[in-house]
Amino acid sequence: MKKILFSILVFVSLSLQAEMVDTYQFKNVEDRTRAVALAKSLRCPQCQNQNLVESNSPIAYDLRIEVYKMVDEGKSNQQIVEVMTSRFGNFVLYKPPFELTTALLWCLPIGLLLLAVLLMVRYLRRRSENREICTALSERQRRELAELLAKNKGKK
Amino acid sequence: MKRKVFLFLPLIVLLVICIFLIMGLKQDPKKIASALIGKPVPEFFQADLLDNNRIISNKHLPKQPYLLNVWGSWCYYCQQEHPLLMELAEQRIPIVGLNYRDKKQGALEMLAKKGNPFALVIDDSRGELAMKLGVDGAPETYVIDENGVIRYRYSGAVDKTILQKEILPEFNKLRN
Repeated sequence: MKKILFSILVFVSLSLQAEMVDTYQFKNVEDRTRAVALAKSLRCPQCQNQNLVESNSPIAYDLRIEVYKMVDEGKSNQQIVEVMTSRFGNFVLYKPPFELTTALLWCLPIGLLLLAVLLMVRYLRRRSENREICTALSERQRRELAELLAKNKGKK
Repeated sequence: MKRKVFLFLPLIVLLVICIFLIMGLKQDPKKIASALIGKPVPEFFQADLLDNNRIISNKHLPKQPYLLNVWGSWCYYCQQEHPLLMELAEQRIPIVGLNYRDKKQGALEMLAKKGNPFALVIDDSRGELAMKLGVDGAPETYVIDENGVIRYRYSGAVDKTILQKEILPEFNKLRN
């Protein structure tokens, strides 16, 4: 019984997540959703592996409030992201823009996939070629086969 | 021969990726160049730490190449690099201090005890200017030219080697 109760608790706790709540007054619910989503998409410059909403650091708090303010002022997501990158560089973005320095990052998965497909096609083509050669009997093989069959018939 | 090379292609690609990844690991994430290099110091109006009634703005910044040091009395590495800043001040290199997220009393105590190397100390107890500058922690040292354009940033404590190898060369480039 205890075990069951425990596993239920574990299961329930998996779906629970604490989230930073700031007492910021938004004009409407849409603004709040947009602001929080945007803050979540930006990386905290100090803690590196947390976004602005997850991090407790004072700088993340300030930046979060800054994002909220800008949303409240009616700035678009792109404008806000531009303000952030003008200060902290592309570092704050989880999804870096396509540039010369990030080309490898963007192209590698596609490149590897193409390479894999290419290798696969080559392999399959070669295999089917081989099979054709195998199934078609040469003149000599056919003669030998006929002889063998004839011998077999004679035995019976 | 050609076929053999093709056979080893995945391995070669994998090795190349590994090399790139290892290079990435060795990179110090603290050394990301500032996004503000080549841009002027952001506009600000903030109190002077030493005289809270006085408001400092971009106008009050030195009209010659100078260093901007982000510090706080709470910050261990700032205390460590402080003697070096004192030496620089003795060499008549202007340093502007940005007192970052500090309590006024603590900051003043540290300057009284260890000496004040700064030509000017900006009170940034709420981290406003630091945010505009893209500061991600103290200490940080910027090299700024006579027009107020940021030329170089070092994130972390400055020691003698870094000073000789990185900061002074950048600074001297501007002076000549």
